[in-house]
Amino acid sequence: MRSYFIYLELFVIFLIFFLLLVEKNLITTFLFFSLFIFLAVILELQLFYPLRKIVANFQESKRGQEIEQLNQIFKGLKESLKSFRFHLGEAHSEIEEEKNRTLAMVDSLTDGLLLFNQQGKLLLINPQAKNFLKIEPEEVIGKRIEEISHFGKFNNLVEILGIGKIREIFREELPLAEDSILEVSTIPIKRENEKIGTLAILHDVTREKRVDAMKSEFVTISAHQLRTPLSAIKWTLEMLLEGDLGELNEKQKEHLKMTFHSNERMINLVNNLLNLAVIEEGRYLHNLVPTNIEEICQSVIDYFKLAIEQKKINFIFNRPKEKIKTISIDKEKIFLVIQNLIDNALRYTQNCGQVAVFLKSDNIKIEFCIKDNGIGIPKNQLPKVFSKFFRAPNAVKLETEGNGLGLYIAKNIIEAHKGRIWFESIEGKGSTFCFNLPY
Amino acid sequence: MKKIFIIEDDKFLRDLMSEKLSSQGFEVFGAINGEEGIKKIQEIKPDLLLLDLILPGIDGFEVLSQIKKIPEISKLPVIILSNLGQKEDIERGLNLGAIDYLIKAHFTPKEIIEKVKSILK
Repeated sequence: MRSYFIYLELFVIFLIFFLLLVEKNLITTFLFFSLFIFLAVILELQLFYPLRKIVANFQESKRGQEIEQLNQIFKGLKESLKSFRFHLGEAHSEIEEEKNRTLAMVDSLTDGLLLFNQQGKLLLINPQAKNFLKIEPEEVIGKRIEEISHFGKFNNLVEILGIGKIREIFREELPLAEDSILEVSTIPIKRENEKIGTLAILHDVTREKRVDAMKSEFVTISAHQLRTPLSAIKWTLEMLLEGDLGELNEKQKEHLKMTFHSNERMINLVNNLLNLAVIEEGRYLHNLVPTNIEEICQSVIDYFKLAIEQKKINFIFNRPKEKIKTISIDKEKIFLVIQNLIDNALRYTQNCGQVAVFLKSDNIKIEFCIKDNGIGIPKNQLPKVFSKFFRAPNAVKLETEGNGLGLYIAKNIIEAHKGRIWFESIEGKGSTFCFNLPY
Repeated sequence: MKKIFIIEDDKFLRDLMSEKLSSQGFEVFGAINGEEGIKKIQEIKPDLLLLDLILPGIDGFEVLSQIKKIPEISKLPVIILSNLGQKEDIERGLNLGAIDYLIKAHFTPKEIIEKVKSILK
């Protein structure tokens, strides 16, 4: 803009000289010259300067706006960066805190924990597991399960967990020493339905086992002590009834028969307590032999032949279509299970009712079911069916006998064989009890 | 007349059994513990022994194994009559040479005498 002004001034000087040449009048020329100088100054001061200033200002202000805008953006960025950093820090410390909290929990658990990834590499071990297994974490962390089996007491654990792919197990016993027993369970860790690892939990059951053993010992001793007087009562009653001690009248005999019957119930209860004690001692399955389960079913059914006839029960035994493979089981105990199940079915089915036994097998298991159309089990009682001393109120009403141990014993025996026992029941319609035994 | 010997520490049970056996025509002798029992058996030379297991002093298992070691009485048929009824007790008794194992509470005197008779036949 300044350059235009120079042209203007040059133009004014040129004009003055032109006029000087034309007029040749010095005074007039001087006057014109002065006038133009004056005009130029006026123009410069009044017009061009402010104009330039305006333009400059205008430009300035435009740039300023941009800068202002940029500044605003930068300021905004700075703010968000600041808050971002703040949030990031916060999130980080939250994660850190969460992690610490979880680790503190894991560390202070009384159960031992071991975390394996999908490839069977050990990722984490808590102090309790370290104590149980007598190992140093730095020796085993990051190693595959088969590489750590020789550390501390790991080898028994590895045997239970399985090499390579870790098995899913629930409360399997791991004896560590003479008087130290753990229970091992594994839980698959999943993220969005994808398995990402396995958590092994070691639970110390030493104390429970010891208390159990003491309880069982107590029950065994008292059961034997109870049997002796019961035998004396039994023998006396029988001799009285047999007339060994002189003839009795019918009324006396009738009463003594009832007494004999009560005494038999007491003997049965003692027997069940003994069975129970032995089951809970865990030394129940010491005699696994290959057995034909169909024969066992038949011999239990034969055992109940009289009861079936007396109650006029329509009893059906659905034998398997093909011959069942023999299975390694504790014969007497499985006999006891089937006996308990058939006994219940007959006991809690009215005269002329129906009881059906189904036996089938595939390559991996044998399945036994018994279905009756008896009194069934009330809905609110269903969860208690397998508990010790359980008897449903409708069962007590129908049949005063029974000690509520049969199904508890059955469940224990089946589970000791690593099988499963279950049932369905509708009150008034009947019940179906089933169990399976793996080969 | 066949002679039956009973080793049983519970007097009432021993008396009941003696009475029942006597009524069935047996001559009955008894002892309340193992040591006394082994001594008397050697004198009396019974035809059969009913042996309890839980006894004061040496127990029934010990009595049984001692009897088997004494040549004059080693052939004596022994029925264990006890309230011990665990599988291992039964197996142990039979392995030591008992001819049968009866749990007292599971048998009546009548049934026990049937067993005795069938063995002595």
